[in-house]
Amino acid sequence: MIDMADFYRVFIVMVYFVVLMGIGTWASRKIKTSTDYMLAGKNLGFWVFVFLIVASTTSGMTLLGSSGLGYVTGWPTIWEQIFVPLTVAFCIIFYGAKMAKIGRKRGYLTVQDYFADRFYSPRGIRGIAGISVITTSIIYLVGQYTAISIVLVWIFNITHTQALLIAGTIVFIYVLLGGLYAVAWTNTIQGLAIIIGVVILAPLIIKEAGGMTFINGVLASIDPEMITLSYPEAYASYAFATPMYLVSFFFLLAIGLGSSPHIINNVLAVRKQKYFKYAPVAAFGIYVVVMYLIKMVGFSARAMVETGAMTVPYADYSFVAAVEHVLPDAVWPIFMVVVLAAVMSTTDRIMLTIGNTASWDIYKNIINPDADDKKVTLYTRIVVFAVAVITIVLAINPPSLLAWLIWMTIGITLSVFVVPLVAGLYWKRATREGAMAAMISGFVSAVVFGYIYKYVEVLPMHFSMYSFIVSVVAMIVVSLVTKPPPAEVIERTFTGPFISIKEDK
Amino acid sequence: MIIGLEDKVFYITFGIPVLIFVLLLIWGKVYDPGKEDD
Repeated sequence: MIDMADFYRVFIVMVYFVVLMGIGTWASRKIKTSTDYMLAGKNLGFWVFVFLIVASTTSGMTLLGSSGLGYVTGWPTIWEQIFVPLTVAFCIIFYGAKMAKIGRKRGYLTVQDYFADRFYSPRGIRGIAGISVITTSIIYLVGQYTAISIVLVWIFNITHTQALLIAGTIVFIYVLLGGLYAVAWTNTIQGLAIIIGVVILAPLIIKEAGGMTFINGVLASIDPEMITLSYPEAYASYAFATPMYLVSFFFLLAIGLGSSPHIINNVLAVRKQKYFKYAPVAAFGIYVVVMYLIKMVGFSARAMVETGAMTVPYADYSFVAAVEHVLPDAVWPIFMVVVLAAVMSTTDRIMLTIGNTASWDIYKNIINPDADDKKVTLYTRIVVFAVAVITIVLAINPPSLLAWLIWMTIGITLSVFVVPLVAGLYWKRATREGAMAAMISGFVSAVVFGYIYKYVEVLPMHFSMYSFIVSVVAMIVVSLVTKPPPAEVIERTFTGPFISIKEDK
Repeated sequence: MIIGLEDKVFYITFGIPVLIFVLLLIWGKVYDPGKEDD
């Protein structure tokens, strides 16, 4: 039996999906080459770029996970709200500005193109990078599909498997049709929906909970440490945010997250390099406000639960439960689309990243260099389809701790990509062997540490900090004992301790 | 106490984002992307 309320919810979400599909179809008309498909013809304008990079970073974690974390831990994890927006600025300034410039001159389509060029290893480095990108992206994607499913199950009261099939089909169709043009434009719209939605909703929720002074009073009554900047020691499962842990949290979120290929590849798609001047401040400014508000929704939800005003089945549900609590029945499904937008936007970007990596880095550059453009685009589409099927199958049995899973993949990214990226761009002595050693040792140690220490309270710092250090040491030691890179490579990739590339260099 | 937080906690949690914002504005002023390539 479908009643009017169910029909209304289905209608709202259908309108949202139809708009997405429309954009995919429209964008597909603009695609003529694989550069068009993968990098939107390297023609993104300032605001499309800003929203794309913010929306690519805004995952299912951001809305559901951040407010859930706020709900459980209080103010000591507010640092997440600073580090995540900071990673976008960090990515543009320290990786993007320089790489986009080199990329224009050298024709890069992905960050792996840069690795192959800088480390004079057209196959080896590209292969290792490609495999780690695909591995981490698939784990990430499983988390994202699970988040989408949480939302769809909640809106429609359907089963988890049905929700996965719906989500997978929709994302697949428009990524398939439109490539980055579709992803960029839908992300711009979804980014706007998230920002407007959060800015309207959060103050309503905070007000409903009794205002910030009251909310903080309630948090302090649960545990006085909940309104401080960190926990003095890890005395409870929620009190993992000790000063030492927060240091690793900075590396994980502010530096590691921004080195993820699904974020960094966006900088290769901008129309003009002068956008890198104010894109960092624009992205950070918008993102930090939204992130603070999301966390405060988590605090508000906790206060409302403690005072008996509402109930929350589990922490990651606090955002959606708070929204449902404050909004009239006729309005809240519209805002559910906002939550859906947040979880969809990262998913499509990651699917495209996997497709591009498999077709461009592994197929075109390693397996079949003679493949023409048409074949590469076709191959990307086949891979995107295969990935959609594989991740849906993997997501049928979701992990019990979504947040830790996503941090785990960021941890692997921190251990694999940051060192070769920073050393490659800024250190002339970084060699191919050093980069390979850093990537392999980082990947292996991250997987081992991650497997042994899944949960945050076991180690004094997040496990990725240890594998990151292993990667740094491997890069330095192996580079210094191997033959320096050819001078020609250093020159053509503009390697050196500077960000801005002057033409007369 | 400001909004139920100790002064120090309030100024750090809200001051750091403002400081980063200002630093990024300065980056925008000083960064010279050089000649556009196409």
